[in-house]
Amino acid sequence: MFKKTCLALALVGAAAAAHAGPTLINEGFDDVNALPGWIISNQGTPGGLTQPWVQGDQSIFTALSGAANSYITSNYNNAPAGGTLSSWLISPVFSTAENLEVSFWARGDIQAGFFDQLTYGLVNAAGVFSSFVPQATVTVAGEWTQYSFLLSGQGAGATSRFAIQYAGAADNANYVGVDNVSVNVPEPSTWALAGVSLLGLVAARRRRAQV
Amino acid sequence: MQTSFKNTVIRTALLAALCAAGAAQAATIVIQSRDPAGVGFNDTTPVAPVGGNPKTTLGEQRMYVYRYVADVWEKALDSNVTITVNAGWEPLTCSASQAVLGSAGAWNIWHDFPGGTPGTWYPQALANKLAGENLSADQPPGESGYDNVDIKTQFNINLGKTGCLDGSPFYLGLDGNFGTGVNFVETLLHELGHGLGFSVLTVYTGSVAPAVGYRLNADGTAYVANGGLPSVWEQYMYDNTAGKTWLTMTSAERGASAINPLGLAWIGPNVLAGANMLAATPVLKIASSAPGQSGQYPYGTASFGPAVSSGLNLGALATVPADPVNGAGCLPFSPANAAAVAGKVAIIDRGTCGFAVKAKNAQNAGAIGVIIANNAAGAAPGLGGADPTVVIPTVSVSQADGVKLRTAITASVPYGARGKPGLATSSLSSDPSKRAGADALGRPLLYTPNPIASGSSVSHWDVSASPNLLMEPNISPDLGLILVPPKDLTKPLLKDLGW
Repeated sequence: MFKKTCLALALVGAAAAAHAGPTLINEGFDDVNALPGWIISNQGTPGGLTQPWVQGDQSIFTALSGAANSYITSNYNNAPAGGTLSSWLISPVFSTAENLEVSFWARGDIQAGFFDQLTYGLVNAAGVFSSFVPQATVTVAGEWTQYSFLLSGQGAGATSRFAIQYAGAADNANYVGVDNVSVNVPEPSTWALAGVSLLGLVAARRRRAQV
Repeated sequence: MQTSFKNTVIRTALLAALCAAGAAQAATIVIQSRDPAGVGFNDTTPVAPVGGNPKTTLGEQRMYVYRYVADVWEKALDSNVTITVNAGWEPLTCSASQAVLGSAGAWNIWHDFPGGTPGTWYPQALANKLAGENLSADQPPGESGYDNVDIKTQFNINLGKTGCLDGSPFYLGLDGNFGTGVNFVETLLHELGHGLGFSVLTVYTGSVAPAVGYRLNADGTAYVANGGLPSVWEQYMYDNTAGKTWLTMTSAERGASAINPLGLAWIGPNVLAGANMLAATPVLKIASSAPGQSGQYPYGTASFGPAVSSGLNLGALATVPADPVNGAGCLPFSPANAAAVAGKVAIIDRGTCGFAVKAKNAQNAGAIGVIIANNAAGAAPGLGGADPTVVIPTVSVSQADGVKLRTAITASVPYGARGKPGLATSSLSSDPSKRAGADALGRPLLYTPNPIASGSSVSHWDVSASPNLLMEPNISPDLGLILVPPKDLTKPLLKDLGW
C-alpha cells in the first residue's frame, strides 16, 4: 500500500513539472540594445525628434519587473507635431504550429488631454507590415496592464511574428511603455496527465478500501 | 556493533591518511644571521615588549618576527629540503620621505637539475624541493659565510631615524597595530616571497633600458641579448598586446612587455583558478532612453561626504554650466542653476576652488549628489578636502567621461513624456566582466609601469589589484598572513612554478 501511494504522488509531481509549456519568447527588455531577432521600425510621419522603442526612462515610470528601466518605450516625439505615429515593435519568428498564448504588459504616462494607443497582432515571418493581422487596439492605462490572446495551431511548418504598433496622431500622444512580452505554448497534455495521476490515486484508494 | 566498529576503523584510517598528507605539507626554514656583535640581530638596546612580541632587546625582537614569519612560510610550503635564509640589518638607501625598507632574493639559482624543466632557471629553494635534495650541499659557505644559502635578505637598519623616513621605524609587534611605523611582519612576509620564487629573477628588469628583457646566460655570468636561458616564470607571463608569452619572445619584445602598463598577465593555472577573488570593478552607471547614451564609467571617490559603494542610486543628472571667472560651482548657485540641480545630481567641472566647496554649494542649491568632472586629461581624480556639513555623495569622472555625461543629459530630453523631459539617471554599480587588477579575461596583471621601476617592475602584482595583495610593490595596511584565495594570490603563483 505504501508503495502505491508513493507512485501516485510521483505521477502528480511529474504532471506539475510538465505544466509549464515551452516558452517561445520571454522578453523583459533588460537591454534594448540586445534584442536578437527583433525588428524596430518607424513607419510614421518622418522628422520626429526621437527613435521609437528605446530603453525605458525610470524617471517617467519604472518597469513591471527587474531593473527600474528594464522596459521598452516610445513617445510622442517619434513623429513631428501634426504627424502620425506608426512605430513598430516586432518579435523574432516563432512557430505557430501549435496552440499559442501571446501576452504583453503596457503602461502609459497619464496627462490630461493625451492618450497612447497600441495595436497588436501578428505579421508574417518576413516582418512585412502589410501582412499585419491585428487582434485589438487598446488605449493604455496609467498602471501596468496585461493584454493577451490565444492563437490556435496553424499546423506543421507555420511561423509568424508578434507585432505591436504605436499608432495615432502625435499631437494626442504622450509616452508608452511595454514590458514582459511572452509567447507560450500551453502544454496540451498537462491536464490529461493530471487526470491520469488522479485516476491512479482513486485506484489506490479503492484497493485500500478493498483490503 | 560490528558495523560501527568497522566504520570507526575506516574513519581512523582516513584521518591518519589526512594527517599524513597534512604533515607532508610543510617545510623547514632556518634563519642564519650575518650581523656582527652589537649590530642588527645582536643590538642589545632594551625595548618594551610590543604587540605580542615578548622580547626585551631590539635584536631579539627583530629575530622573533623573523621566526614568526618563517613559521608562516613553513606551513604554506612543502619541501623535504631545509630552506636556509641568510639575514642581516644594513644601512639601505633612504631620505626623510622615502626609503628602501629591505630586499631579498634567491641567492643561488639552478638550471638542468633532476625534477626541473630542462634549460630553465629556478631559485634554489624551489630547485631543491623539485630535486628532493640540497643542490648546494657540496658547496662551502665560502668567505662570505653564506655562499650556499637559498635566500639572502637585508633590511634597513636606519629606518625611522633622522633622515631615513623620520619617525617611521619598523613596527616589531605581531598584531598589525603599526600606527605610524612600518609593519615588519608584512614587509618580511613579502620579501621572503621574493626569495622563495616570486620574482622573474633571471631576466633583466633594471635601470639600463636597452638591456631590459635580456636573459641570464647558462653560466650565470651575464645578461645576454641572445642565447640566455628562460626563467621558470616566463611560460606564464602573457603579454596581451604582443599576444604571446615571454618564453617565445625576443629580448626586445620582453623589454617592451616589461613597460606595457596593464598589458602583462599571469596565466598559470593555479592563479587563474583563484583569480575570481579579485573584486569586480566599480563603475558609475548611466541609464538613458536616448540610444547610445547609456554607459559605465570608472569613478573616483571623495574624502568628504558619505561613503559610497556599489548599489547606490545617485539620481537624475543635471549640468552646472562653466564659469570661467569664478570657477564652476565655486559661488552659491544662481536661481537658474539652483532650479536645474534641485533634486538631481549636479555635474560640476573641477577647478578654481576645492571639491568640498563645490559639493557644499550644490547641496545648498538642493542637489542630491555631485559628480566632479576632471578639467584636464587623465583618470577620474580622487577628491580631497573636508567639510563635515556635506551630506550628499560626491564622485568624480574623467574629463572625457564628463563630456559624455553632459551629452547624455541633452540627448535624453526628447525621450520623456509631455511636461516631463527625459532624464539620464546615475547609479553606482560594478562590472563583473572586469576585475580590479586583472585583464579583460580575468587574468591577474603583473606590475609593468612605464618608465620601468627598477627592482619593482614585473616581479609584483599590479597596484590596481583589489583587494590588496601581499606581492604588490607597496605594503598595504589591510594584508594578513593568509597567502591563498580569497585573501591572496601569492601561494597560487608559487604553486604554478612548482611549489
